[in-house]
Amino acid sequence: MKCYKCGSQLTDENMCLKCGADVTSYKTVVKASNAYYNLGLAKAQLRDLSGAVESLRTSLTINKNNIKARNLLGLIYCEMGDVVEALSEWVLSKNYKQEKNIANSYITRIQSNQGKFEAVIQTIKKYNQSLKYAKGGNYDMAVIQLKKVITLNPKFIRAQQLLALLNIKNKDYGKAKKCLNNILKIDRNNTVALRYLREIGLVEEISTKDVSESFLPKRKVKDLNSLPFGGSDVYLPPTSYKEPSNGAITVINILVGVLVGAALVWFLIMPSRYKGITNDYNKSIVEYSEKLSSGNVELNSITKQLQDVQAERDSLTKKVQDISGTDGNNKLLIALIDSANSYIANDKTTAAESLVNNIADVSLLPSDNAKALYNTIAAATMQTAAKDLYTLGTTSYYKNNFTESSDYFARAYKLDSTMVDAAYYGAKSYEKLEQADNAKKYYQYIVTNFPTSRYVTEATTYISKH
Amino acid sequence: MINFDDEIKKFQPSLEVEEAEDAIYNNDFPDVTDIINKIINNLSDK
Repeated sequence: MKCYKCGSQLTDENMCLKCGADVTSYKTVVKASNAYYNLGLAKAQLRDLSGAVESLRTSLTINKNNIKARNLLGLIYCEMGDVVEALSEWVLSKNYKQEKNIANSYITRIQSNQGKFEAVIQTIKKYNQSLKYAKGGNYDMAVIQLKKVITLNPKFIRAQQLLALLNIKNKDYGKAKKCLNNILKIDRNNTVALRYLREIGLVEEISTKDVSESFLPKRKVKDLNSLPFGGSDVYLPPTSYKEPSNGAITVINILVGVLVGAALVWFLIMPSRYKGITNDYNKSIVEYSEKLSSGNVELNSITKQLQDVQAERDSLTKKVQDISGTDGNNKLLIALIDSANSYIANDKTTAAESLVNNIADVSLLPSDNAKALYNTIAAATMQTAAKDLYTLGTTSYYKNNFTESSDYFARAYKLDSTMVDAAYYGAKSYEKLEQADNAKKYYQYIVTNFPTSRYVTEATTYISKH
Repeated sequence: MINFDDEIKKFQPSLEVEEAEDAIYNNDFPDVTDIINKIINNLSDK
């Protein structure tokens, strides 16, 4: 025992040898607390847990620093399913004495098995929920929850008590007794359980008495307390019903049972089975439809790609033909070769016209050598050929052969676009031929390309008049 | 005979983890030792 003032060890003397405090009353109080602890311990060893809780609470009321009493109280709470209350006591105990305290071990053990602890915490919550249901008149829900709680934590005395009470209310005394017997296995002197059992006994006694005093023949009543109760036992109360012993009735009963079973299968199980099959079938149809739609979309996409590729192929083919065919580069080269041949044959007019009529632009020729050849032939033939044609045109013009002269002048102007006279006489030839459109075309060349020419006034007048 | 309504009133909710902290802090009530110490201290002051 330690001094309440300085904490030093006390002796048999009634005062502290270190601080001199009078410890007479203190010793008496501590001894009383210890006595209650001993009493609580003795009750706990006999599994009188309710009695032990009372004694230990008294012990702690006298001396809250009684660590042993507090630790034992926690242990008993734990045994009765009140794990949180047990933890609270152990935490307080640890707070009062931090070293060499078994409460540390208890707390560590609880914390080390977190899964089990969580499960127990859930049972406590469910019990509280069940209590709310029961107080709110929702007895069926309360019973369902409590059954779950007891399955998970069979030592939870509060839950067993509440379930027993609800069973008593439902006059299900067998189940109530089972719960109460479970309680008494944990806590032998649980006053609530004992009282409920006594009340059940009284009720059953009255019931038995009623039956025994009636005119019915007496029957044996088994002692329900003596029945062993397993974890999944369902107690069936004794009944006066007796199975008929006639064999024919038994056969008929079996046949009726078979018929009822077949009817149940036909009307209850088969529709749900068919429904399940139909649902699966519909689901498959939906899946296939989705796949089909997806396939169609893909097919459309591929078709469009194919069309694009075909269009591209046609375009490229055309380009290749333009380039490599007789209408493409080959055409230009052929024209150039023809022109060269004519030039070699000293037919300058044909050479020049072959260039002008077949090769619109020298840059279109595929090679530098071809371009160089073109320029050589053009320089050597164009103006000469234009002059020759102009001369021929003039001759025809003065012979009043305007058809020929218009052709010569047009060809001469085509070969040499600086030749304003060829344009003028071309226009005059067409004018004579009364081809106003062609005449206007050549007059317009004069107005546009030779604005300072002496023919401009006449050209402008003709254009404005026609 | 057991009166269900009276009995059900006696049942109290079990302490849940969330309430444990309050229960521990509120446990600091004086015991008989505290009372006796206080009485002795009062007497010695006089």
